[in-house]
Amino acid sequence: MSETKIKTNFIHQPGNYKEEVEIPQDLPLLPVTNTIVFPYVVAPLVITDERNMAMVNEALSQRKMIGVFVNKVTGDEENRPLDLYDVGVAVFILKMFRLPDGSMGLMVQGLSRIRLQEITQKEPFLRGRISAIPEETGKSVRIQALVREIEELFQQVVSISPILPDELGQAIANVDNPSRLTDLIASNLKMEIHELQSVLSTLNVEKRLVKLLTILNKELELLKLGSKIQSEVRSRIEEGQREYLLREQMKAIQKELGEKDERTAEIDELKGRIEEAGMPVEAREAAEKELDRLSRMPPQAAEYTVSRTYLDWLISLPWNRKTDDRIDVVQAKTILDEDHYDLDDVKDRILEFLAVRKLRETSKGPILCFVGPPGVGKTSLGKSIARAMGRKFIRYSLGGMRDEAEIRGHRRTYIGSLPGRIVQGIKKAGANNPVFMLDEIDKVGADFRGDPASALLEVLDPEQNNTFSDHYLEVPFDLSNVMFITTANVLDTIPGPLLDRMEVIRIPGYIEEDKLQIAKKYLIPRQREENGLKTAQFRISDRAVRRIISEYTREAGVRNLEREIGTCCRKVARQIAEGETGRMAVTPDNVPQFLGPRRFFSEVAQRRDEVGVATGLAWTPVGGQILFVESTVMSGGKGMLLTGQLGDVMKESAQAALSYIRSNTGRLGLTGDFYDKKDVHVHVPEGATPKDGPSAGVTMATSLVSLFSGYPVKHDVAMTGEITLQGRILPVGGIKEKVLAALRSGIRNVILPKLNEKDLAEIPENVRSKMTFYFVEWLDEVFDLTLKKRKLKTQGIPQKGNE
Amino acid sequence: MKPKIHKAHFRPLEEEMDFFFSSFFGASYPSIYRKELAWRPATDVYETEDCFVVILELAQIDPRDVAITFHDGLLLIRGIRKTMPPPEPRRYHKMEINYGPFEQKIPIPGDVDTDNLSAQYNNGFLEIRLDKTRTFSVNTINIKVE
Repeated sequence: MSETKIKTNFIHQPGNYKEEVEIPQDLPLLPVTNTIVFPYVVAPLVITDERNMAMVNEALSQRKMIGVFVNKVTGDEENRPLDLYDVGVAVFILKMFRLPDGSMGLMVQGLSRIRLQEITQKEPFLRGRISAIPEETGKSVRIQALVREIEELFQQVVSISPILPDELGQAIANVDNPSRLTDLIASNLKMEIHELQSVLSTLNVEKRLVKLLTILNKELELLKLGSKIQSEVRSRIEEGQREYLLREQMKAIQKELGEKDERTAEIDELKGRIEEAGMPVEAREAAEKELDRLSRMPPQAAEYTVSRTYLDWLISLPWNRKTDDRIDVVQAKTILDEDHYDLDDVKDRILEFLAVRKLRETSKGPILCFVGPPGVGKTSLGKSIARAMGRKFIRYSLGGMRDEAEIRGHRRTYIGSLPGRIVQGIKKAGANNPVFMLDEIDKVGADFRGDPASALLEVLDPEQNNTFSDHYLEVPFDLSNVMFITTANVLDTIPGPLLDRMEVIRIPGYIEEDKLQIAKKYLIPRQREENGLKTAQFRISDRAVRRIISEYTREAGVRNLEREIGTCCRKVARQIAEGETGRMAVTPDNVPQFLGPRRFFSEVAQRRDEVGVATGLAWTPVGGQILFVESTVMSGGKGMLLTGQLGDVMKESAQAALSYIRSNTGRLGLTGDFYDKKDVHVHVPEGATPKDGPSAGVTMATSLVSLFSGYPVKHDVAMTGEITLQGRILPVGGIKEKVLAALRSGIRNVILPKLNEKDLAEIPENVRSKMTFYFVEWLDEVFDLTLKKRKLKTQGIPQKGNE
Repeated sequence: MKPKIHKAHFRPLEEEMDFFFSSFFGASYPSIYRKELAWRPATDVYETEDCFVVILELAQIDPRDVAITFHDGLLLIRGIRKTMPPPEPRRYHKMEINYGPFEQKIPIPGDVDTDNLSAQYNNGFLEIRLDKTRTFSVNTINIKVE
């Protein structure tokens, strides 16, 4: 080993001893790739490589000095080729210790820059010959300026950097040598290894200062940007925390002031309203549970609104709020009479209900079903019932409803779910005993969404509806105080179980006399009012109304009548508005001026007695109607043609009529070949309207007998009744409507089955007195009454004697 | 010979070095600047009712190789441990014992009687006693190790 030594600036003069720290020219070498130990800097080194550990061991046994050089090639540790930069640092090992993973930790102090002359040994570790690089000093003005600038910049870096401790700034101030300053700063900056090496290799102090200045500027920019990004991110996070903190503080302040925060106030208010709502136990428990849930929920939660809405529903329902029933039967009758003409049956039923209510307060509400043609006042009857009883009135039309949830509501799991129409109606009424009208119950549909009619079963059963459970509410609501009234045009389409729960009250069509009265009492005053006319400005004579009824409307109810009266009112109103002052009156003569030419003609008035044409009576949902059965005969062979949209039952009754005639040819006095070589065609006009039912049996039989016998049928006789093959006549329904229809059409003679005689009681006296009724038991009687100039033989019919 | 006294250096870098060791494996650490290559012996400083006591752990020292000076409230102890482990083939597992020059600067927090300073080297411990007193001297005092 060479004994030549390199002098350093490290000198010790303890007491009477002086030692100069010198570096041997021959040093063990440590190639590094990730760090540089600058002169005068104490820094740690970690050694994992076995070769280098051996090298350190050797150094420790001698002068404890090694040369640290950066390897130009970084990356793959295993097969890294050796290519060292030629400027390195001689370091002194202060301490050595083993790390838990077996690698070696060194605390070293940089002594001096050295230059690698040549590598003298590669195994077992690197050793090389080095030469000294004397430390350059300089105090030129330019250097001083650079130093000041660098110190300034570095202070900024230290103040921004989250890593560098503030003490470093002070340490810099104590370094008076520009060269050492650059080394210390460089060793504290996070730099890429080759950049560090370039600082180390730059021997000229001035150049090194310039280089460092550039690096420091770059570093400062990076740090500023980094801290800006950081603070932006932090401020975004802190925004939420800030809001939370402020809210908490506000709560605390409000608490201090004895005030309540908005939310607590809201919860308290809800609590109070639950107290006041007077809910039954079950509902109350549900409400309190929900309130508890709500109070623990942040208002931003999506669930909050759902919960809040549910609570609002629970609270706002009239659990025990009810209106007092006005139970004065006499006054109620007055009100009902005021609102509606006639309809005595219905009024009686209402008054009976009220009477029972008076005697027994807890009686269950009846469920009435008003059945009748449109425009007869079913809905308005419901309203006046509510008025008579002093109850709230709610109306909901079930027509076309197909969704069960409409009745019972949606479960709360669905977004935007609400209670069903029943509960909604009750809430709207604000009382738990309204008159609840369910219109058009015969037009409830059903599809994949369920069957609303079945859901209605629960609602309309007085035995069950005290615990009606809405899907949304989930707690039972007592509907037993509600008075349900349903309306329908026909009963056929109402499901049996539903119909069974209701008390059906038929409201048949009105006759001309009724309509006149209704018009005078209600329609004319109402239309006058609606069109802004004074009583004196609009007058209409009874005969004019009658003309409108018979020539401009044909209906069971009064809707069109009201409309026509309205038309008259409007025309009068227009004339007044145009400045005409004369008295406007609607008279029978000037009706066409108001309403145009006559719209309907009495069918009978146009007719005369004809062969093969008989007048029947039919029942339709919109009231009774007359219909004509025409038959004709042509060459052919025993064929029978039935046209006019006849249903199966009607076709069969035509067959029965023909069979009866064929089997009784002799008695009926018909010639034998009337049928053999002929085709018969029976047609029921207004072919577009579907018709069905057995009640046209007599009419068809009469038409056919007339055809075959050649005797014309009296045109002013109408008939109805089902026939048997024996010629017996069976009773049919809808007598009142049919009779009214006959009267409307100007027919005064009506043939009815004997067994329907009892139904005559339904027909008002003033109608009865205008008409002649014939009650028949056998077909032969019908032929006697209807066919002209010919009396049929009636012998041989045994039952005849019974009459 | 009077040793040259350096200006008081109240921020011993050795202390920073201790911090250094504690964060040896940390991702970040500051590099430390040090001008001397002297080590710092472990030291106790305490005061009794009538004196300050400074004890340094200095094994294997020749008292003649130690210089103690007191100047302007700063006690400066410098010296050298010449003893080296015998030159034989070896493999280190730990190397913490310092050899060579050492130095310790201790600011004394109070007035001392500069006439009455004593130092004793015994069993590897160097003990320096400084009596509390009113007397005040700005002169540099050399303390002889007994």
